[in-house]
Amino acid sequence: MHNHHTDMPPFKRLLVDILMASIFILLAGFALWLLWITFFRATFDTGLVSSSDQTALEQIATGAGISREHFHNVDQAVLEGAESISLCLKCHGNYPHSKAPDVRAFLNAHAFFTACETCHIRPTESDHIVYKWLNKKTGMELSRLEGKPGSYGAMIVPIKVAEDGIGRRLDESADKAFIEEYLSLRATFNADQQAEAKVRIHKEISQKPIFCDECHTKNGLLNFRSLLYSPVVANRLETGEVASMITKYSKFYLPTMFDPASRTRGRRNTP
Amino acid sequence: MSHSKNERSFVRLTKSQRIQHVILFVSTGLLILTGFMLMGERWVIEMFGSAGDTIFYWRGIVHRIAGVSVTLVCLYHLGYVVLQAEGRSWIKDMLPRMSDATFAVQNVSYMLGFREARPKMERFTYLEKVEYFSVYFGMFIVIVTGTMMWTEQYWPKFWLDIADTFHLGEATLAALAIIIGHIFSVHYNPHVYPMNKAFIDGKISESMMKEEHGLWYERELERLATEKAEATSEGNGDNA
Repeated sequence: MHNHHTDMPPFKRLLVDILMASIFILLAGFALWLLWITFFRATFDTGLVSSSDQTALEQIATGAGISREHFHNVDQAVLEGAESISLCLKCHGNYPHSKAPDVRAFLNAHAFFTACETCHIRPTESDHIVYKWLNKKTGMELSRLEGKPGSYGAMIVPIKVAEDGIGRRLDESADKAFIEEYLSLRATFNADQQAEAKVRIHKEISQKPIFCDECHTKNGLLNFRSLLYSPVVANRLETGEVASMITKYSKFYLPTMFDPASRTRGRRNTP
Repeated sequence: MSHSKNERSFVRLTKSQRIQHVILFVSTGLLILTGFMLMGERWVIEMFGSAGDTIFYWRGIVHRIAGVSVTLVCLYHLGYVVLQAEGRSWIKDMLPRMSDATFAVQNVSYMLGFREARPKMERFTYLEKVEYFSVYFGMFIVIVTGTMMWTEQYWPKFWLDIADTFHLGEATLAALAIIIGHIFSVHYNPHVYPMNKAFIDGKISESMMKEEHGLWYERELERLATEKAEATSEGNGDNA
């Protein structure tokens, strides 16, 4: 039995063969890839210690089967050591926001990629401020964002541009030597002296910090596009679900399961 | 055994069947493409760059549109095989019979060289029947689990995890069956290579019909002869 194919002129036949072979390779490749993702590809990195040559009992005995990563496996920024670049965190710690239980997780998450002064030193009307991603280790400006969201090894830092065109960080005026010295002598100071030192240390800090909706809104303080975000991500940061939650609701209602104290109060109030 | 371009041909697929098939394969192709994008390799997705968000936004929409269209064509087909004479004849010939087991054994013996000739098979071979009914099986699973995942807010996570596993598993099985079982065996079949045009023009050549569907061929010849005889006798009657 023969087919159309054998009736074709040789050149056309060659072209058809090349086309059919290409489709064959493409489809066979896709089929092999399907087998690969089904049987061989790890779905995600669990962070578990490799334990191939240990028995299950040995793993338990040595603790090799237990993940040493952060519970949610997302907090890479914590491991990168944010405290090494900020003087503030020396006293305030890696999780500096504790007062507002309903938003402090958001604020602490931001602390890993946003310099403190971004929100805590409010620029005056006449200040010309530009916001840049600066590498945490080198202090150099990033030219593109690479890595997981928020975990670019860099921080958003406000830079005040003077009339002569020279940019300075807002925390540059902080008296670092004074702060370091105070920290070493703090234990010998009485309460009044400590309070006086703190006033001096915090003299630049604004009474009212910049709140979420001053940046997460159209035409906010930060221009997310010039902060190297793609237009789609920038748009989401301005008007996405979380951003619009912040701008629409000034008060957040969280399930009481996150707030054991209020449940106890509730029980106590019940006669 | 050779044939010319002017060889006689028979109807393999009617217009309605061809339209159903086109809707089925275009939708399924889109579903496979947009579905397995979720399993895509990281480096490929990173190549999309800043367009990735937009591409994946449309991915979800196209997947749902194709899912709806494949569901509708399946429901239509169920009505077709029950309500229309053409469809009833289709499903009647498609139902598995004991003879299919015999054909399977004989056909495999032929391919291994233990038999002189291919068995004379019916309108649908045992392989075509398996393929056809596996679409019922597969569509049932992906439509049910796909609907569950589309309405995820109404389901406990336990059931959604099961739905996800079944959806991906059946999709993988179906994609492999289509590539290896269907495309390769239908279009790369040396009788028709480079393309079996039946899905476009609905025709099967006499020689291929004789080779792959011997019993059906003989029945069709008989039917044509009877029709011709009837037409002739009617024509004679008019003349009388």
